[in-house]
Amino acid sequence: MTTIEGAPKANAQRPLSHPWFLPSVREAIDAYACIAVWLAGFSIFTVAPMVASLGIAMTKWDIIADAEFVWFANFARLASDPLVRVSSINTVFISFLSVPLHLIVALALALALNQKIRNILVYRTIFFLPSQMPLVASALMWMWIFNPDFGLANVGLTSVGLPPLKWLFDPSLSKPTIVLITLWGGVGTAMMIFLAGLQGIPEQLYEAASIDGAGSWATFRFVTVPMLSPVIFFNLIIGIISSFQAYFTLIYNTTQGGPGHATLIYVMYIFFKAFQDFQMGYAAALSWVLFTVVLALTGLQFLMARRWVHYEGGE
Amino acid sequence: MRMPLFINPASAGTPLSRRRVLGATGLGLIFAACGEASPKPADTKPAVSAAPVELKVAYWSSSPEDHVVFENVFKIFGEKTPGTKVAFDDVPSDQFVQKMTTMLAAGTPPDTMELHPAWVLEFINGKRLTDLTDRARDHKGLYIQAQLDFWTANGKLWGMPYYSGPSFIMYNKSIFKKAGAKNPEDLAKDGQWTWENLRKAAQAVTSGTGGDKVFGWDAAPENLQFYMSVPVWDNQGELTNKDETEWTITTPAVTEVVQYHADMVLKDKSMPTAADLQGISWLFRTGRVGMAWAGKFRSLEVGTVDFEVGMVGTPKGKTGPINRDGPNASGLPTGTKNVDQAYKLVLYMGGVDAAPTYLASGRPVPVQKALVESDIFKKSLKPWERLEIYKESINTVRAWRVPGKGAEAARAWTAEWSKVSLGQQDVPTALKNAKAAMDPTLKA
Repeated sequence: MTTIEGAPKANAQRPLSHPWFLPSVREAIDAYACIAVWLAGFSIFTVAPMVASLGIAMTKWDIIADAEFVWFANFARLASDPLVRVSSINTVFISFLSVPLHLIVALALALALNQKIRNILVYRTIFFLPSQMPLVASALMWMWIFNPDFGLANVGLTSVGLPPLKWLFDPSLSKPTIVLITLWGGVGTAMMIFLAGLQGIPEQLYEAASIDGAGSWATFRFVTVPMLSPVIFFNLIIGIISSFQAYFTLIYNTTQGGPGHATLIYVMYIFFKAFQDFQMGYAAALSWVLFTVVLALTGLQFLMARRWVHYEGGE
Repeated sequence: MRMPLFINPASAGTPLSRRRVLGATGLGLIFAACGEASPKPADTKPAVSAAPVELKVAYWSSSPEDHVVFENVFKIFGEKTPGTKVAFDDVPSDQFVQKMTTMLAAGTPPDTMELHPAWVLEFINGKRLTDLTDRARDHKGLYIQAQLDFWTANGKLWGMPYYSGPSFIMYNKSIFKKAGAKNPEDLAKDGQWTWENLRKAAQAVTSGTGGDKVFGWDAAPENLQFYMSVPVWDNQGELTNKDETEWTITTPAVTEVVQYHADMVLKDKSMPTAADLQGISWLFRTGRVGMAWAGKFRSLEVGTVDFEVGMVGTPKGKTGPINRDGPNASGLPTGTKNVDQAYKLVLYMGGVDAAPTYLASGRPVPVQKALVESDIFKKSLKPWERLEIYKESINTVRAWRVPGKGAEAARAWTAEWSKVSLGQQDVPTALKNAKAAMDPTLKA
């Protein structure tokens, strides 16, 4: 008599005629089908232009006339272009000042907003709101605040007997002023990520630390920071990438790279070369150098992260 | 070696492998997806029927009032030209070159586009404009010669003029009355309208602090190529050498003029700096400026101000007066589809037919000789506008266009001037640094 249990047993023993029927392969096909649309968009609108830009970087091309193939001349030109040096120094200055500052302020705010107090949601909204403000509107507002003649910043300084400053119009002050402005609009997102990270730290770790007699600084140092380190690492990576690329809108709408070339950052120089001077080949070469530098910095951070980032369940 | 992008002549004649064909097809599909196909060669067949034509035109207006003038001109042209409708694209001036270049590269240029002396040479040399020499042969005689000279290069005409705005100085009579100072018109009447007296007049009316400060003179010295050209020429100086291969801005004549402006900013504090102009496109309109360079189009903008306006010509220098112009012409970009109708429009804009709308609006100074003495022009002038000043200005215009890569050169000078205006760099150093950065922009 054929039993019901016999059938699946026989079925299971039958060898699969084609590797495509393997569950792991079918799963992979399903996964790729699900991301196919995104993958197509990514290939067409990101990968293809990147590949094209590498070709363009080896040409002299003003969009309209035919391109002249110049091999690596654009890359060689970078070395002797004084504005590449100036804009690189400015970018590094702004980046090195803004990234640690953003991380510290965002973490401090997240710690403050992680307290169990009344109306905490209102406070969180208030501190997050500036990051949602349109960048152009924000830039114009800060231009007025830092106006040397009648800006609020100088009203504040003079009211306590300090001399007024030229802020964005002073070559030595303009970069720190830009960083100050980015702090206002830029910490909100990092703060929310820190907050989510803080709320994911198991309560029993704090209880154990308390039982062991740890004070608030020791708890922060030996519980919060290690448990939060993956989040700090994430914010650090995003912060560095953004600082090399994302301040364009703000600077374009405030100083346009001035006074002198004090706030001319690398991405703005790329923009000028591409869309004001129409030196597309040179701009593409500049872009590839930036991409390589950011990639190298990110890789370096991943290498260093092994020493200080602790993943739950990791070694 | 010049060649179309991504085509390697070295590979011609090489047998095509399947991999190469597949690769080329893949790349082709990618680029086809990213951009519009190249324009097809012009159809040589005559049009079967006179289908309605929509002319796409790109110009920039400098104010809401200006926009309305353009709208009216195009509307009336459409009404007077059966089967033709004009679609006006009002492109902000600071985005104009980018947009036109992109449209040309995409093979979708407008039928007509505005031209400006700041960058027209780049468009002519880049073969982005249609040669209008033959079409304009019978019409050239109608125009003021300087207005044609702006758009003539390599012996060919590349644009049809429609707007002229030769330089003059607008002043705020109310400020001068309040300060009890002799105004520029009175100085001119007494034969004392010199650059030195302009500086004294500016000092006399400068007053106040902060947001209420009144500045005597607004001249935009950060714009070396346009606003500084007149005092430089009047000082017997030149901005470039004759064949335009070198900026001559370190010469004594130019240095004197830049120093004069630097002194007005730093010593007299009678000129606004970048910080004072923040977010304000033209400070004169706010009533906080005694005197300012102006072009005719500005007369529309002072129509509703609550102060009394006056006008005066260029002050006397070592020579001159030699005036600049911020003229505009209409060009037909290469690849324009409706060349005949487009040419009709550009001819119409600066001519007698459009005068009751365009010239009467008070926006331009005429570009055609016959219109200078016309009643339409005379009636278009506001009570404070003086015909004799315009006439002198028209006759003393020097048709100079910015050579080389104008935007790059302008950025270089602006960067150096900003340090001067902050008192952090002296004028000779600024000019020397600017020259070093600007000279390469004149090389091909």
